[in-house]
Amino acid sequence: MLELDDVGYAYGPTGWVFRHVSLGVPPGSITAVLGPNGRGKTTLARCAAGLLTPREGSVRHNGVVGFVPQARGGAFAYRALDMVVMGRVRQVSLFGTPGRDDRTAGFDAMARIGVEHLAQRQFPTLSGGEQQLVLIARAIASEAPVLVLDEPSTGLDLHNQAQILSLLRKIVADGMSIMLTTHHPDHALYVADSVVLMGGVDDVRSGPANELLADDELTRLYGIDVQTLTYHEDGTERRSIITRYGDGSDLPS
Amino acid sequence: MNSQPEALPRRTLMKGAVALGGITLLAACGKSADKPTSSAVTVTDQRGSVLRLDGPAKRIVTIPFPAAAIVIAVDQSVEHLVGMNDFSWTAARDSVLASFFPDVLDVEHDVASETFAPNIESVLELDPDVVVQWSSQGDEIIKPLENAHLPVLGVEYGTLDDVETWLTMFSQMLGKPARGKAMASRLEGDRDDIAEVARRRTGTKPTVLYLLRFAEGLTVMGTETFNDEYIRLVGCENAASSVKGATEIGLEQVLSWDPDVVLVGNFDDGMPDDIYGDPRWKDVSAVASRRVYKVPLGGYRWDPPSHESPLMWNWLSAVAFPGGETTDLRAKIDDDYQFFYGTAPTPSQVDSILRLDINGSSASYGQFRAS
Amino acid sequence: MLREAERPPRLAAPGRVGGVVQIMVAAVALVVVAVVAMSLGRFSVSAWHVLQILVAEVLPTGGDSTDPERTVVVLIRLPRILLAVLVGGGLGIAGAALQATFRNPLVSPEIIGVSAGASLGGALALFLGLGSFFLVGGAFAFGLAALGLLFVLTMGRSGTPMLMVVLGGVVVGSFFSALVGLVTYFADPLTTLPAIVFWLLGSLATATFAKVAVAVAPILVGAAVLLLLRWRINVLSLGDEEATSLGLRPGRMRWVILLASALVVAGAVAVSGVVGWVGLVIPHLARIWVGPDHRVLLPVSFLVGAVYLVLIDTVARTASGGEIPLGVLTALIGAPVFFWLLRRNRDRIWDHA
Repeated sequence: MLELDDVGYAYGPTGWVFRHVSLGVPPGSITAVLGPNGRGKTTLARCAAGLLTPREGSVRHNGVVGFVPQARGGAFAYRALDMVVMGRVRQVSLFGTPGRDDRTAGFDAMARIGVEHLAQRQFPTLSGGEQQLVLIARAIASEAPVLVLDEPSTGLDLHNQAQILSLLRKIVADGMSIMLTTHHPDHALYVADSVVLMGGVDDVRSGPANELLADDELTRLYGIDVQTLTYHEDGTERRSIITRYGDGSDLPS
Repeated sequence: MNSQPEALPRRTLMKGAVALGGITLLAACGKSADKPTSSAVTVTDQRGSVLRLDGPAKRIVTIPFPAAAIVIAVDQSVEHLVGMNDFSWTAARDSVLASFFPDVLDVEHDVASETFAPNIESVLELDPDVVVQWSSQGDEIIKPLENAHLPVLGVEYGTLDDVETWLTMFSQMLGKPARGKAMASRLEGDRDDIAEVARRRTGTKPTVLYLLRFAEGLTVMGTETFNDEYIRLVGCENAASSVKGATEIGLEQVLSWDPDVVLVGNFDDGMPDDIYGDPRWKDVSAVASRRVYKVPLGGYRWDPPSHESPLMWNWLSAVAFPGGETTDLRAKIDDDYQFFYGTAPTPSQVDSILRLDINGSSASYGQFRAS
Repeated sequence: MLREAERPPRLAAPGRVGGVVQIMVAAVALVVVAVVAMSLGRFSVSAWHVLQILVAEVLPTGGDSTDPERTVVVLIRLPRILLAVLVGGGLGIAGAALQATFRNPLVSPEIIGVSAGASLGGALALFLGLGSFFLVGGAFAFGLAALGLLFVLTMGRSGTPMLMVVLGGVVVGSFFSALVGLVTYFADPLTTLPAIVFWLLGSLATATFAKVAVAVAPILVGAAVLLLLRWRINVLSLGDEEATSLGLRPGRMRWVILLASALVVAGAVAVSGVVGWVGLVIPHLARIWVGPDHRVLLPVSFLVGAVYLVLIDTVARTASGGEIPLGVLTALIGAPVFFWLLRRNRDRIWDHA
């Protein structure tokens, strides 16, 4: 469970990034945060994860929040399993080192995600997608009931994007609360139960995905022509995006 | 050539003055005591540079450690010494020189660093006629003085011959060349006597280790040092002959050399008792036979070269060859000091010169007690 | 793509057991090197006699070694080797911890100015004639002061950019070194020059058991703290943001690590002066051997640093009749080794600039 109540964040006295954001992510649901660059998606995610302190409002959760940053390689070449086990900081005593239980929990988390075969590989040598999955495993190993992911599919090819998204649907079924920021309305349409549209400081709307992920909303949000189309999969109605990227006729000649 | 009629007479005058000065100098050489002449003085220093002074030096600044005491001994007064190295001043303060010449304590002594780098402004403030400086330690310590138009008398460190040269140069500088000659020949005579005694001796030569520094790490004097020269002069061997110059060594090296006699120098606070009390030294021959001695401090430290070096040689002879052929050191000190400083020391002053309090418990030191 | 989880394999994973093995190897190497060093020196003692003497210290066995040999081995070489172990090991482990904390491979106790600060504290304590408690305490306080100064100069929001740390460290270090020169200049002129050389170039020539006693507490206590935190240092090295999100308090932990490192450096500098290039190079060499996991890297850095300095000190006291200052040798060896390391990692190093 993750709840944001009238949260606002500002840099300094007047640099408001967003205000009056309220949303709830119940267990077993996914909330996607969408918006153009620079409108505060990452800042909101960090507030939700407890890395930043909001200027206004409050953040509540029922346990630890696992924050999954964008995979960046890293300065030291730890092995993937060691990276995952580092998620167990709260379970390991102050002067201790991880024990068998911790290593088992780590390995189990990797197995749940399907990356246990990468356990002995050095983290910087993994592909972007693999690194992202390992970081998700780390958050799971930390036994956090809430996950906040910051643009988990950025820079990943389609195959890796698919891995991440299907993984999220799998683990959310076990009762986690998941919030992720993303540039892809497509992804939100695929996994999200609720969405948050961040259009500006005072233009933050949150609500059920099927309501807010409408053509006019998305067009207004991104400033380009976005259309959704509906299709059926396994008897369920799903929607996807058609983006009219433009033919350059509106650019100065 | 004759475009400036005034210049020619002046130049002739100059030549005449120099010639007059030179003749007067020559004439004065034969006398045993001479008054300083009022004419120009010429001295050639150990770099080969010729110094021309208007008259005998009246304001002298010395930077090498032993130079101050030597100037005082040649001059038999402190009057013409206006600046000296801090190290020379501490020696003077702690020695009989302060009792013989109390004014020495008032002489300015903040003129140079421990590495002989001159503080130009301090030196200039003293308005010296001559600055005595090492010429064997590189140009950087001489150039600043010459750039400030100060006459520099360059001296070299090293051998007994150098001491004689210093005596000659200083006496010329002070306008007392006969004094210098007398001191030099006395030195030479003493050296020949000691060498002769050493030659007559038979038997194995004891090894002597001189410690320049003991309290903060061990520094010894190897080959090509003055200490090496006089150790061999009196008929001993230098325990540190496998190293060159002043070298820092480890204690293990001392144990390996195992000297028969250890001399603790005057350049730091180390004392024989420190060595006797240190369990790591107990197996060294010199310690086992209690032959560790602090080098005496006369008008100047006896370690480096000076006019008192013959006393050092006699002392070392007596300590290294107890019961052998030696001169009466106390009598020689009385005699020499009368000659150097115009005063004979009191018996208790001789005791403190020879450091009877510190060396008293070491072997065969009873020979130096007043009878 | 998604498989059923298998039974966890033997998760005393190869790396884990391997780590313990590596530590044992390093420890054995240290013992061997130390014993060999005990039998080398300007005063020749046969290796057999050395062993007899060492054993006789613990058990009442006899042996035919002579008194001078015993003096040399037990009173001269032993304290020196013990100091080399403490100083080399301390600098090694502190260097590794600092590199993790600053997330920067160019960091070492000297480069960031802590060693110079500690030497000023020690020099001041000696100048004022204070005892050994103040010697280490002063070294500690001024080492921390140097660190604080560096923080003020360099801490930005995104961690510590490498160039700034190096530049800031050079500035801080030079400043404190200059003050050391000043203090020794005003000190007793009879001891000034050798004191300057000791503080700025490092030496174990004056090693005694008293100095071992002075160094043992701060170095072992500081090293122990670092060892206790060795796993959390892994987490800290991920970066402040990740560490916070995982549940660490990076600011607080960083201070603890810096305090512990400063304590180690203070103890080392107080008894040996500034010995450079150990805290910088040893962690890199150790990392090449055992990898970056600080659970293994920290103990190995201590052991490898100890071996290294024992070897260097043996050369310093036996290569020639005279004593070569430690700092000269560690620089002669350390600089080319570090140059080689830089070339190997050229790309990664520049990434952080």
